[in-house]
Amino acid sequence: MKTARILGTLATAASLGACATILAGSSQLMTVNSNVAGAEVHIVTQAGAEIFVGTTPVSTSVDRGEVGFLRVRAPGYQTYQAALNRSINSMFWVNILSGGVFGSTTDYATGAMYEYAPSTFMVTLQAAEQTTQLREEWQRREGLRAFVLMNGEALVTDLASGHGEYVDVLVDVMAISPDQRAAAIDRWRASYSASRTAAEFAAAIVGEIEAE
Amino acid sequence: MLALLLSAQVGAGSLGCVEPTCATPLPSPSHAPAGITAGAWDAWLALLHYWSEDGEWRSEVEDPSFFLDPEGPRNPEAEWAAAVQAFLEPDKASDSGVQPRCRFPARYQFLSSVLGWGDAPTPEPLCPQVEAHIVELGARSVSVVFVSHYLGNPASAFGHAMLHLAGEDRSSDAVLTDYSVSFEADTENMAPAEYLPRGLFGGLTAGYRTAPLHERVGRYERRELRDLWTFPLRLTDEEVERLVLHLWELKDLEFGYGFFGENCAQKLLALVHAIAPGYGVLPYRSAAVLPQEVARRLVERVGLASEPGHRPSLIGQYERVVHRLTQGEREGLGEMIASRTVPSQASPDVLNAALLWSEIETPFNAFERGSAESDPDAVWVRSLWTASVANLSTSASSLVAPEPARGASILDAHRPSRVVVRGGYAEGHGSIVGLGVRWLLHDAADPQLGYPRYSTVEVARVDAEASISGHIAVEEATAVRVEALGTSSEFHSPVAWRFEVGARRLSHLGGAPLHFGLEFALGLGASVSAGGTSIGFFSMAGVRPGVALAASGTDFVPTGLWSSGVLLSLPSDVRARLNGEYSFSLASLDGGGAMFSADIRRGLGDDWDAQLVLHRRVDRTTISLGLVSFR
Repeated sequence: MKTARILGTLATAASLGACATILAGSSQLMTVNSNVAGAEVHIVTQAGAEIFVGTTPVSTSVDRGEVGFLRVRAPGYQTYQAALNRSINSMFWVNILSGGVFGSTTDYATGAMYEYAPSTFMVTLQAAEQTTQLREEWQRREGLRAFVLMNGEALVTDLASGHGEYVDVLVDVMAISPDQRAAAIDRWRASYSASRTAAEFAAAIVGEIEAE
Repeated sequence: MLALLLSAQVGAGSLGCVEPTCATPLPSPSHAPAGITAGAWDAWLALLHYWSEDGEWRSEVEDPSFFLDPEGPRNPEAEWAAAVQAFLEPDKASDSGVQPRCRFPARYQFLSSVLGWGDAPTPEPLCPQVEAHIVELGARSVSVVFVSHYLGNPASAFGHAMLHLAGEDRSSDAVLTDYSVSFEADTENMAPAEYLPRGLFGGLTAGYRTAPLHERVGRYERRELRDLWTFPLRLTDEEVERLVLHLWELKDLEFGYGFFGENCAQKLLALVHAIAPGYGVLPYRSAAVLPQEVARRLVERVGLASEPGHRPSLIGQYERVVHRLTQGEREGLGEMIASRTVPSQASPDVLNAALLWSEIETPFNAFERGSAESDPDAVWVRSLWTASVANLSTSASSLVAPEPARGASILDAHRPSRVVVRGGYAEGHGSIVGLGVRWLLHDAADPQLGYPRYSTVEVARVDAEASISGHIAVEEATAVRVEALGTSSEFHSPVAWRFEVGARRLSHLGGAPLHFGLEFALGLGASVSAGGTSIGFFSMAGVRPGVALAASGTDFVPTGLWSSGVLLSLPSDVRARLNGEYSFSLASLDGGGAMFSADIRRGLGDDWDAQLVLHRRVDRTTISLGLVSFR
């Protein structure tokens, strides 16, 4: 029960970027990542004209005056779309919690998006097929990913010494027994060492619960 | 900067003792339904946030969805009757399709207890969403958390207060997975020009927001570098349970948010009052409803369940690690940071300190291996981390975490309002008596505990003097003053600045009349501290457009200023602010005048200071001794 609660808790992690808007200035370099490697990223104008196409992870310079929407899609997943001039934290809350334990009456969401480093965004796509079990697994997985991404600096510092609150959270969430703690920490250290980016590190952690 | 000041209450404290905070919450028992005790009726009124206004009842919750009777917002008797009827007809769903028992579980539980419907901790029929909410929050105890003042964000200048819902079934020390509750205004995507007047005069929407503790801790402690003080409250299990159920009732409701009355601090009191009116946290009659005062109020009225906790900011954590280092290790750390190198002989503590330093100074670099070639900081952080892991001589499982940090309680910080009475001698006037009154909050010579060092946030301050001959003069009448005068840490910007609106005397004007204006000054500050002694320096240049209020009339006098000063703090609780100022007319750029002042204090304990003031301006010198009382 405790683990279930914590995993539900983690689903809300990414609202850390409260008050953030996707485009903060007239022009900026933004990086878009996704829980689905190689997802298509489309930036389109208000009129629907496509002005950029790439695959995640991708960085591009965008002009607020030109662009209207960010659209991310991948085979087997629902297409995610967001207006680039709006705030994202509320979108994350609504989307990742819809149907969750908070009992939101929101319709099924098509994904979520949050900023985990300056101008660096994670778009979490949802599978096209939707069942209660799949939704719960998505919430658990993406909540954990959000926690790792949003608290990555603290987590890495804790991993260096082997103790600290952020490592404790991970141990708790991953249901690591005391006798497995040292091995788990060594494993997470190795994951960090092998990761070139925060998204890769988070994917490695999330991969552990996917493998369960 | 005006924005900074006007917005200081968005997410902070309320200025003024206003309804419903100060309202009389106790109703006449004659209004209670027959057979209902006065105590039960009081609890009903509290749970629905009723308060009295001109002899009539009104709920501070304006959203009609919070009531079962159309007259509910102003008629507790009608709402009682409607609730009893609705709860006794479980098959009758509301317009939203939700069973009333499931929409208002705290209300149902309360009526069930009072009317003897049976002890039902959760409503029957089962409400799965309420059950999930209870499991999700997992609250077993409640703490009030004060988050320190923060000048980096205008909405945080007065600090913040929230509740921590702690779970006791914790299988580890993963306290960060607990939940927190905060009353917050929705200001996203609003320009300051929009949300400031709305925050001042009302018009913002807000609500009780629930979020994981790690989300808020991450923001406050690691990004905004603010301290957090936690006070476990001695609420009973039943009260904690009622709080959780009541949060469900409040979760989607929108409240107003404004300068007066409806802010995070006031709403926290209202929340605790709603579920436990017996503690009498309301009415709260105070000069200001501020987060730190609300924390104090809750501790005083509800009581402490255990020792308070202090979470130092990331800077505090860094300083704690550095404090353990030897002098040689500190020098080595400094060299590492300056050269971005990682000596092979560096100890784990030095590496840990360097990692914390890097998180404060170069956030987000730990992962940026991909940009390593273009970002030497990222390379360095990676190297630090690798060296830290490699240098560990023991396995991870055998590492012992350091003891939790302990710090002085924010409850020992001085109160926000201040009265000064002093007597002395003024050149040309003889003996004088002085009276100073300040509504809020803190100046750089006040005791520093719990406030940003070398800073001032003052609202409504008046200082006046009267001589034996009957001459009475207002020396200063400040509406708002905010200053950041220097630094005490390597992590803060050396920029010093001041913003001020109000009237004070300027030496370059003949006779030093009051000059009412808007002032902005910008410069540099620096500080050093050792062994409990700290000293800061600042120097700023500024402009002050405004009106000189001379006896002969008023003149618009745009003024230029240059001010410098020293701030001193000694371990014996002696504090001093020495200030020099040169002012001149921007129109003529001549005829300038100088002024000097010294405000020297000695703490007397329990919210009292002794004060020596020396003031020298173009027309006179004043020296006085005074007594400062914080209230």
